[in-house]
Amino acid sequence: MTSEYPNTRKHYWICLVLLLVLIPAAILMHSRGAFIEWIAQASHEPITIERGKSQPYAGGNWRLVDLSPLPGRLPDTNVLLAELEIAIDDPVRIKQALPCSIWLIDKDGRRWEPAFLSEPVVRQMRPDAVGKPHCFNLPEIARAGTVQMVETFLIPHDAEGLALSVSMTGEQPLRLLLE
Amino acid sequence: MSGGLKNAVALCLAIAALYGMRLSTPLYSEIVSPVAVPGVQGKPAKTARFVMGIVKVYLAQELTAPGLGGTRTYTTSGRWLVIEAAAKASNESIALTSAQWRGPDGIRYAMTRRLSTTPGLLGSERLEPGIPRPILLVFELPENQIEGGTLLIAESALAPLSEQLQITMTPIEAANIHPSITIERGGHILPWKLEFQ
Repeated sequence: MTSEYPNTRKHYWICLVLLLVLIPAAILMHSRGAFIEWIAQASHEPITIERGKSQPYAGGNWRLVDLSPLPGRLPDTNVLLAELEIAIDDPVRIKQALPCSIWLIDKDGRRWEPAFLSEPVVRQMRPDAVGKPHCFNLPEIARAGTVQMVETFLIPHDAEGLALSVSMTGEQPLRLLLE
Repeated sequence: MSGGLKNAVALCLAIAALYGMRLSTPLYSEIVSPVAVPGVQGKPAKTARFVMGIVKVYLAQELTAPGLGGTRTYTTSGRWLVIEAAAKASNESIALTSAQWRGPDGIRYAMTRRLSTTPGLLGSERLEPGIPRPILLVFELPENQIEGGTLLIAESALAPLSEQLQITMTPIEAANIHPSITIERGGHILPWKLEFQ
């Protein structure tokens, strides 16, 4: 057989190698950029900022002022009040990068979305924080100057190693991790 | 066997094979339907994104619940199935918005919309990781579709290929079958209270 078709084995290996190249290439083509975008998102490390320090991002300097735990209305829970400061120096860029999304992340990788409404405990214990803008208010408040923002999260008592993740759609895959 | 006969047999086999493949090919709606995660009543059922357990199941002919204009009594030609459950998000905040009851005949019933303002109903509160929350589910069902039914729970009825819990339900105990159930507003921990008549 080998003498009759001397190149059979060679062709077999060439075809196999071509398949290994062509199948991923076909998947890549059919994903229309979504696969590359997903890889870029997944492989991009966030910009980590220590507590109190500020970081330029999306036309402003972002700083985590405080993460204050307040007693939660449910057993074994806390309401975490996150206070952020943004010194906006390029309002056009920040508006172009909207919308923004904020998550609270713990050391185990669990992620909490901000609460829709202010928790009653915030009104009782931190009335100064009530009425301050949230991430979703940025389109209305993004003008040159310093903006104070607050977000509240309902978290379990056992959540540790908390950090705030800030991501602006127009700046992705870059995102901030405020520790 | 002559050549013609061989060809005819081969043709018949090919037609039979094609017909078999045609019958066994799933519909597009089946390909993109939710991924079923089986569970049984009495044990916590877990998907990759949430955990849920059934606490108690009640049956009634009449239901009284708080509404926008005051308390209302809801009658039915079938039965009211009231399920008390608890759920918890696994890794990130989620909202469970889809609940269906699949009867023994395979007919699916969505959760009733007649009690839209009842506290604690599925979808009224977001689930957070690490914080279990009670959930109330209410179905209006024909009597012959209750026993042998399956509870189907998912984040959304519209998200293809997402996971859907399919909890096989046990027969309802006689002590949990009542002529009338009243749902009242509860506290922070349990948003409702049930009273039986």
